[in-house]
Amino acid sequence: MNIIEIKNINKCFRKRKTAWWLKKEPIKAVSDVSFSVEKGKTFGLVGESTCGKSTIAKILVGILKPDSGSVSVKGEKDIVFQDPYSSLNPRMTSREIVSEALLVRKIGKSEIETRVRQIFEMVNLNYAECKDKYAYQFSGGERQRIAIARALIRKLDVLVLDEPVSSLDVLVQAGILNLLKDLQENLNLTYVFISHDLRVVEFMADTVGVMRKGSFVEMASKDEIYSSPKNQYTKTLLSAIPDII
Amino acid sequence: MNDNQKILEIKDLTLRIGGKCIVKNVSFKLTAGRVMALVGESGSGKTLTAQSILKLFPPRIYAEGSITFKGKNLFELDKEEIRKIRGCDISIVPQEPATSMNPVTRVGEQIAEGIRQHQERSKPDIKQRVLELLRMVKLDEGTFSSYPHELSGGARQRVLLAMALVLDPEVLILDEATTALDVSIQKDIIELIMNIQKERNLAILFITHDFSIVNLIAHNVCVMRKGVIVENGTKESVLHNPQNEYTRRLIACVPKLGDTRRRLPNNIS
Repeated sequence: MNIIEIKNINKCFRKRKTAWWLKKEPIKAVSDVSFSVEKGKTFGLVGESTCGKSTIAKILVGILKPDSGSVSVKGEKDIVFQDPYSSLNPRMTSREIVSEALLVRKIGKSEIETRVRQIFEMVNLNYAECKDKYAYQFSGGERQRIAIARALIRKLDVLVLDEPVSSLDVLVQAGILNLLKDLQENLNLTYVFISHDLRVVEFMADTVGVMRKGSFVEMASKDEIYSSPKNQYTKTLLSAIPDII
Repeated sequence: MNDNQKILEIKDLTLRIGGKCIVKNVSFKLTAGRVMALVGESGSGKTLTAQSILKLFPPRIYAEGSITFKGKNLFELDKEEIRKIRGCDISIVPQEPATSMNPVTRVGEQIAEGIRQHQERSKPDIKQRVLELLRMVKLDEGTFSSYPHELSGGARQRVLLAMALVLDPEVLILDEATTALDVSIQKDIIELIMNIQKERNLAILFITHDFSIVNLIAHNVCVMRKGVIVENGTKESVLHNPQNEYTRRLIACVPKLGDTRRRLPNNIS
């Protein structure tokens, strides 16, 4: 069953005018993009900066509306952003950040408390130690865990991860990737995992789409992309990866 | 290693803040024509070690040990003397390309500033030199009159590199110079750095947390953890035969192409 169905979406942005006599030039961020993701699977979205990856992420969770095309995401969805330094409110404690989504629902205080405690445990943060700290008091990896907890406090079906590990160092990155895999298994989550690093995507994804300048140049199962890439651009990206030994 | 080739030697560097020791007994040498990689996770003291070479650390830090550059102990120099060394002999490329440039000054001006601070040269002469540098880092000459926000991350990193090289230093310190970049752009920048390094016989201190980049660029490696160097040696020996448990984990936690592992090792004991 496909939980995400995206069909022929387009999105243009208007560039700000640099002088009054110039016309506003539209920039095509995403053109004619279609893909679908099965429940419980991970779709990896790869490409260099400015290729339109983040625009797709925002369209998926409804922050942006596409100019044309259809978007269907069944169930609850949320997003984790790249920069854990700017995506958490600096004036709220981690407990407030995580529990905020529950406040609009009619749930008792004690129930919220237990739920938040559970989620903290789920993302491997010590609730008693962390609950009253502010975002700046956490390391990058801990902040990303809080961002994940904030998303998971609602019972999610789809989680969009927009470069969730690219600002972290390798050890912390490994911890977050492991955590995401565990969460997916335990909660039967569907991921859209966005990254410029093909190694990380290979580790996470089942299907991979390679994007360039707003559209897919290649989309296939993970094995196909990595063992026999068809597109020249995919090959270039693969060859840019440094070998460790 | 021939001893008279070494141009910078750090000996028993210890940095304290309050009563707390953040860097402890760090020693290594930089040699002309060689790249030394300083590897470790965030918070391990890599950046502070690099900054202390140019006395750029915050004033409340208390430093011990010695850093010898061409026979002079840099810790004994006064403000004016160390200022003459910064940029001229030893240059640093800072971590964040986005925040380390002046947002309201044109790129060409920012590169030229280094020359104006240190040398008496005519205006056309300075411009000539800046354009030469832009060509060297493979940027369009039109970049001269752009502002930093108009440039991509990779282009900004090239500008920072041009700024660092403007006075022909002998030692170049690169602090996570490619971490914020895309994989494909990262490759281009590393190739550029390696070409310049060979051309000018530079001694480079390359700070990173990623062992796959170490493999690309370094000759020698120091692995740092919690302010202490836990392992050092040639790239080959450290990568293929790591002695320290922490080094092994740093190498193993980088996902590789064709990786079949379900989990990555990351637990920090």
